[in-house]
Amino acid sequence: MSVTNLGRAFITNTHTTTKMNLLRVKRIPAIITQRNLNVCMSVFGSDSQSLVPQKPVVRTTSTGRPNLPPKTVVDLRLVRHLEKLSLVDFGNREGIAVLEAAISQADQLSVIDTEGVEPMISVLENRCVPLSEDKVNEETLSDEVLACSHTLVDEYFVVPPGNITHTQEKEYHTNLNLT
Amino acid sequence: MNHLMGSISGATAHLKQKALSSYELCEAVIKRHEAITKLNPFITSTHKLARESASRSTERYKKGKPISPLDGIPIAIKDNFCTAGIPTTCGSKMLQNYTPPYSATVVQRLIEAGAVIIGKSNLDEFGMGSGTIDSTAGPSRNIYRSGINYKLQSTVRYPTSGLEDGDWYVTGGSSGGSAVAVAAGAAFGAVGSDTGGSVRNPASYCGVVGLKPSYGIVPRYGLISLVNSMDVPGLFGRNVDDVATLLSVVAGEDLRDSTSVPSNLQNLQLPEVPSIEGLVVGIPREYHSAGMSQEVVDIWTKIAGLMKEQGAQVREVSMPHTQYSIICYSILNPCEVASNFTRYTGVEYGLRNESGHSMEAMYALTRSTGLSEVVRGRILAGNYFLLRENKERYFNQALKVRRLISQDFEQAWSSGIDLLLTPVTLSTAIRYSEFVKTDNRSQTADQDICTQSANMAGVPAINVPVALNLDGLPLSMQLMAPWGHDASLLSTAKWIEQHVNFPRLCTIED
Repeated sequence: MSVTNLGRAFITNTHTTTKMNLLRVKRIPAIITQRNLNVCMSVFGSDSQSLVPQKPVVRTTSTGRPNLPPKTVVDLRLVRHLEKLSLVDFGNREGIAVLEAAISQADQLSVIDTEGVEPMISVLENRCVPLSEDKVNEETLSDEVLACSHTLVDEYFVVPPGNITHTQEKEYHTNLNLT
Repeated sequence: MNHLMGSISGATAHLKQKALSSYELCEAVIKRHEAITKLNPFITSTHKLARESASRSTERYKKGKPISPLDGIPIAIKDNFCTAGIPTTCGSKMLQNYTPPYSATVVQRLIEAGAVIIGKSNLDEFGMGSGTIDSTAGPSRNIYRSGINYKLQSTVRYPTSGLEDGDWYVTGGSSGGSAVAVAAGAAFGAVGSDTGGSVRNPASYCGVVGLKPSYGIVPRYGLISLVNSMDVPGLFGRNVDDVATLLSVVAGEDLRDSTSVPSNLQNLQLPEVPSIEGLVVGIPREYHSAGMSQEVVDIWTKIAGLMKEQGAQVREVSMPHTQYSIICYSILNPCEVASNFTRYTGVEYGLRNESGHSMEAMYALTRSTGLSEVVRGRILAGNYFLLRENKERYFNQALKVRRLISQDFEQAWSSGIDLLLTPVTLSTAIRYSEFVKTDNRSQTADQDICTQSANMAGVPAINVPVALNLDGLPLSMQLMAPWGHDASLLSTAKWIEQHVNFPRLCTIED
């Protein structure tokens, strides 16, 4: 039984109370009983039971996929496409499992009827947010900004040649074991 | 030193009376930090700068001219807020060598108020996580049952010893470093960020007050973006008045953040003795979700009953889209992340992996080296949801569901409800050994259930510690209010605080 202590009732944690402690304590700790529980609760109102639902109201874990779209399988084509768009890699099979789980969870939204509902981009949509003045800011911060980079040529940021598609090493995709 | 576990106003009073100087207070906090290093609250300690700051504060008090109620007060800053000249890493390899040339608005305002920045606190990498486990600086540990000796202000004896098997409790996340620094007396207040519950979750586990203000009233300029439409700088304190003081300093428009709005909270003063007479408190039934521990339900029931007894009208309300909030978040978060994280290329700042011979290769290798699996997973998921063939079904659908969630709140407020009372987390702090059994993505999906909706709707929400359980771990409650009603939210939170007599951590053996 879990009882939390808000009043002056004395409750003992039977795991840690020892004989020595009992002798030192002036008031003898009470053993957890239903009566103690009621005493605790009565400090804060005995008719509070009905105010808060005592059982879970919603199912947060789905047990199946009855009305949901079919489970998405992440194939090699999709992996390559996403890796190219993201310029990060899945790393290993677990990375793909994480994506599949994320898609599976996201699919649960498809059952909600959103007919006629406008997308909400910002919670401030009904408020005026300021526009900045069309004024030149006199400060030049080029030194501070350039100082953040470790690879510069004069006052230029530097990158290797572009327009070359990055491809992963061949073994990486084979090791993912995808269709 | 007992001062360290007191309030900000208590500390300021001592400073004014010259019972101690800002410098001495700073030294005491530094010493406390050294005593609790095993909790790993900070990625970067800023002791040298803190001492300089504290010295200047001491001079001001000598002249009888403190700048503000925060003058000389040690504050911790989560390491995803830019601090000029101080490394800001976001707990990631990508920014391990990044020192910003500017400070976040929140940091600037605190410094201008005379606060002493004591350190950059630990976080889950880039704010992604609910445990403060996934950081390149290693995990942070909860002070409760950590093996560090502490005493509680309580006539009831609670277990305070470390766990026998050497296990420990997580701080919660992602702002865990900030939460535990405040809980352990290594800071009087702290700044965190809350996107899905990242201030309220660790506040709950660490037994401190954690506020997520209304979206827009505290500027995000300098807060390294996670989800622009949900991120909010949040505040930690050991009591509600402290958090209100911090809020009054940091709130208010900043034109450099186009999503910041004006606020009148600069003169915020909570009533000495708040009242809840006639207040209408809603209990959203759907917040009792599967997996919630019985003791959390019990404490929710007790607090609801207490408020009713003391003059509030307490009634159940339905917020039917609650269960979809976390799913909506699991789409919108990665989508915004996928967009925001395109900035990490190694070109202008941060880690740079030179082994590729093309620009694209350099970007890809830099990002794969610098960003953890968790971060990469979110980028990939986000780009999946944003694919042309998927965007309508996932991203746009999630935006529509976001409106439905927001409307749930609107309907609650228009039915006459002033505030909502709910749990924060499903249970008390989780053992590290249990926590790591679940992957980061599933863990946040489980843990953010009660906190996430407030970010969806942009409403203010606060965590108030109310009791300890039989294992000596904190149990907390959450209050939520309509957008912009931060002052009344804080007043009611103060009322709860005054009526529950939370067994405070009062001393720690240095």
